[in-house]
Amino acid sequence: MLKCLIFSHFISLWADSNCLHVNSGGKDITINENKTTLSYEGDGQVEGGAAKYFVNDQSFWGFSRTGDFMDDFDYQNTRYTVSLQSSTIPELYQTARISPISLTYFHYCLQNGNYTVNLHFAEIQFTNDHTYNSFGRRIFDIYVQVSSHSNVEHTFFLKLEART
Amino acid sequence: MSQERLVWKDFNIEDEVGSAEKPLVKQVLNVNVTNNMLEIRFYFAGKGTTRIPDRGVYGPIISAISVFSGKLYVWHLFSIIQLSTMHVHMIDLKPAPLC
Repeated sequence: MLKCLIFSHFISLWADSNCLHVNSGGKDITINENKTTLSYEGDGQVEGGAAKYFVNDQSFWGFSRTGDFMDDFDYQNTRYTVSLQSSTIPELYQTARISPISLTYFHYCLQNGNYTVNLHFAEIQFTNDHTYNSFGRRIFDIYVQVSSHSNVEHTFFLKLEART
Repeated sequence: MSQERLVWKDFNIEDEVGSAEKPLVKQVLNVNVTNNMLEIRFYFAGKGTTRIPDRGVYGPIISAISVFSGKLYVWHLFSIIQLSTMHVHMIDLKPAPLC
């Protein structure tokens, strides 16, 4: 459980978590959900590259993303986030993270137990009008994995070792 | 070793919610974490349009993720393993977020 240690000046803390709230492709926001105030941490500041591995080591989560949109006119995309300024959809849904191949979010140091995962989606690249923009069809697959020895975890260990 | 669960294949947001620019929450229940790790993977399997409204518009899109346990609103557990008492005043104990 070395990875759950928080190193700070003269103290090492063991900590774990039993929740995760991420505003994908956006900024940190606080919203009221079911009469409770929840803080969603944003990852919109994370830039691009054909492969990206990002870890928020304060809150034990991150993502791994692969692929470049080869067929657009951008040689290598610098951002894999999209946004829609609109007053009709909640702020949480106005920004999103995209990926041309795969996108894996992970949360480590999660207390063992039974969890509910809520995935928040909104299609903000296509429109509802009767123009060409509304004809797009986006199709992808979703997996949830509770892993014992995943690649992501392995990479994290390597990073931790390199840093300490 | 890993246990992976395909939650939705050929997932299409607009088919699910009936419209673009409209929020959709999909809930996955009973995710049993046994090794302190959870991964949520979105994967483009080559289906759907790729050039509407522009080239390069395809693949997974995700607005937000929330994960919570059956025991809602429990404080983080902190336990001190090592402590150099001489420098306690220098320690910035960051309060853990409330779930």
